[in-house]
Amino acid sequence: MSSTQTILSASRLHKTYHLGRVEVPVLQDATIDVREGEWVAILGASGSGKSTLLHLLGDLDQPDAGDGQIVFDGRKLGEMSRSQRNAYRNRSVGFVFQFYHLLPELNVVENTLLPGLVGIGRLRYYQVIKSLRERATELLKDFGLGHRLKHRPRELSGGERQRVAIARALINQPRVLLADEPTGNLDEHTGAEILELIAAQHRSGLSIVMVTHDRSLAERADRVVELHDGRVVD
Amino acid sequence: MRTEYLAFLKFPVYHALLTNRYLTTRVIPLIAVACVALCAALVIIVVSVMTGFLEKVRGSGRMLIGDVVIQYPVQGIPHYERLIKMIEDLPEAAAATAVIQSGGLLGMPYPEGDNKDSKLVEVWGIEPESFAAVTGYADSLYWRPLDEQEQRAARENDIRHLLTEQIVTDGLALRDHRTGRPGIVLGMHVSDGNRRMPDGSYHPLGDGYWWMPQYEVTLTTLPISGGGVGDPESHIFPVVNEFVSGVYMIDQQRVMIPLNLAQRMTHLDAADRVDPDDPMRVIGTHPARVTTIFARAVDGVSALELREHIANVYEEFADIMRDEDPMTRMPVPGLGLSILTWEQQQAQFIGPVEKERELMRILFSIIYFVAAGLVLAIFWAIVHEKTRDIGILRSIGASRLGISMIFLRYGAVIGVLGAFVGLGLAYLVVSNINEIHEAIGRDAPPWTWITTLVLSIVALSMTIRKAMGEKMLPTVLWTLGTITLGCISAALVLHQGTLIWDPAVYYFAEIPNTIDRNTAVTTMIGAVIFSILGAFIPAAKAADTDPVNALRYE
Ligand SMILES: Nc1ncnc2c1ncn2[C@@H]1O[C@H](COP(=O)(O)OP(=O)(O)O)[C@@H](O)[C@H]1O
Ligand SMILES: [Mg+2]
Repeated sequence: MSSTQTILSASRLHKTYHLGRVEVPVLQDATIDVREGEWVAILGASGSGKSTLLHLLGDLDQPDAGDGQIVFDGRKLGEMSRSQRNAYRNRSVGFVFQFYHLLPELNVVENTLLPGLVGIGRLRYYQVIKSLRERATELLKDFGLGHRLKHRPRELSGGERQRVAIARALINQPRVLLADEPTGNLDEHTGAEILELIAAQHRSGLSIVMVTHDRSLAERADRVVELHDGRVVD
Repeated sequence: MRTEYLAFLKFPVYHALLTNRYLTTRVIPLIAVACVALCAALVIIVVSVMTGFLEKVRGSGRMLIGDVVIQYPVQGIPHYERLIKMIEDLPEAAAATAVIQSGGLLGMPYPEGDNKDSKLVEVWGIEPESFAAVTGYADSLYWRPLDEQEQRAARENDIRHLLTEQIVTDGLALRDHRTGRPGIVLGMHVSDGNRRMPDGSYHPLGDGYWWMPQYEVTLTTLPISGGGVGDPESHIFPVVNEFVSGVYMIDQQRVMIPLNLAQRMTHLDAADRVDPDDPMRVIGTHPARVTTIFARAVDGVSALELREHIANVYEEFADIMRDEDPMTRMPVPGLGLSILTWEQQQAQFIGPVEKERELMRILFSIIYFVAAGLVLAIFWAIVHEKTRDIGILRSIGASRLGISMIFLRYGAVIGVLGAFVGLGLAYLVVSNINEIHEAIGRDAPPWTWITTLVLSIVALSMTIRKAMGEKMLPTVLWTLGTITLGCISAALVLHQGTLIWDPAVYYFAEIPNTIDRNTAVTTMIGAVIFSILGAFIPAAKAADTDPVNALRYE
């Protein structure tokens, strides 16, 4: 499925947390390449820094100063303006978290189309809302949530919530899906279903970076890399 | 960078969506709205009533005495007709009138029997026609026939159903048309029997049924002459009408009689001037005098301007008269003679009230900070609770400014809602303030305390039931409810009607009951601004939320 073109790459990333006077080095010279249409699984023990790496890739956090850099589609994240970074998080990548992270006050459709509303003004809203709503509904129906559109997250099961979260991540048609232990909070059966959903997205051409501590899940990916002592090893 | 800071101009829709949801899915913001509303209402009510009070003082002053007052008490201003003529010749003056202000004793027709009541009154001798041109005298006459609409609204036993225009004509002329005798017009509360009804009309009640315009009264004055008190002068007047100025102090003590009679009764009328060495020899005349002259400005001329012109005219007048009548000493401005605007005349009264109002405004403005503090505390809690949501929003591309805008907007919505609810509340209270005051003035009707008592017993039983359950909160809430209701019913049982607004003290028969527009507008704007200010700090905190920390855990 994957081409030879790199869509997202990180090189020589360092990240150290400071707990008072104690330094906790988490990433040390981490380097990773994701090619267009590729599904990469990052395998690592709990606490190895997988989430940290994913947050850096998704611009939720910044690497330590140094020569480390993240490049998306030929553009360096470190050189982007704030609004370009907001746009990057909004359209270029989609995040899926272990704990779903839906907004409790919004219903399923609203949660799904929320990224489509962020950053657009009222005028544009009236132009796009109809197609946005249609796309959200379509996605949710595809994910088997057609009967849950007006429900609040708390009325859904874990698996259903994660489907909504994936639909939200996909609403702006990102180039890369960043998934942090997407099945980590689900039972085996449900987890398998979610994984199947992600696999389907991959088949239709989406690049995916998935983080997991479960080798059997990682095996589903095109390529598995391991995070060890702050480094990525094949 | 630039687009980032202009982003808020786009008013992203997700702000509105989230603000609405945060507002409608929880109770805290409603408490915030209620607090802001109460604060705004309090300021609007207090300042409105004070402002209304001031307006009434001002308005009544102008209605009662016109724009400018020239006064020379006791001895009076001689040759006043000439002065009035000169004032009326001023293009700035619309009218001027001469008045005698004096005191007297009024013998009332009641009660039955020989032992009649008498009252100390303030006697005003007026020329009704010119007096009505300067003041609102004509409108202040109370007894007049009702028009059709009023007839429908009035009580059945309202005396005014029986009246004809004649009573107004008599009041305006201070003359009894049946006998041609000079009449007297009394302030409405001079007679003890007159009562103000709940609908604002007046009715003679009390011991017997003493409707004044059917009776005669005896006015006795003590004229002052030559530095001493002369013999008392008495005159019997038919009462021809009564007036309501709305100023209680005036309505309970002022009476109007024709000027020429007043002059005679105070010995300020024209008299022979005799040779001090030979009391039998007449060497001229003492001119008639009045103690007071009122003048009204034409439209567009301020009272202050008119006062300036009148002061000049007076100098001129005094010079002329010193020439023409060297025997008569002309009063000198500043030495007993005063020329003041109606506002200056009332200054010692208006001044303190004005200061009091500003003090109130400032004191009650502290309430804005209470509102801002409340919004701050509530938003702080909300932002804290919403940390994870903020992380989520950041992860899907929301800007920091966008996040803070949500909370600022939220603050603005709470401010606006609070301001309007507050205005509504203030309107309800202020426009019904006299009814509310009257209700407080009565004992609480039994159904009120019976209802609250029953409710508190219900609450008590709920408390006991909840106390047997597992949860603490319902028990606490029901306990509080029981105590509150119990206290209210106890208060209602013990409540004795108390009159807070005693018209004798507060000057007016009625509490001002209109919202002051300026105060309402500024208070509402203040409520919105301070709500937004209160939201600022939590909004900044929200913007600074680290998305990674916010999202790390469930
Ligand atoms: N904000 C933080 N402050 C201090 N230490 C942190 C912080 N975030 C993560 N860590 C530490 O960094 C390490 C990596 O965390 P994380 O990336 O969440 O690992 P993983 O996702 O692989 O379980 C852990 O030891 C964690 O305790
Ligand atoms: Mg993790």
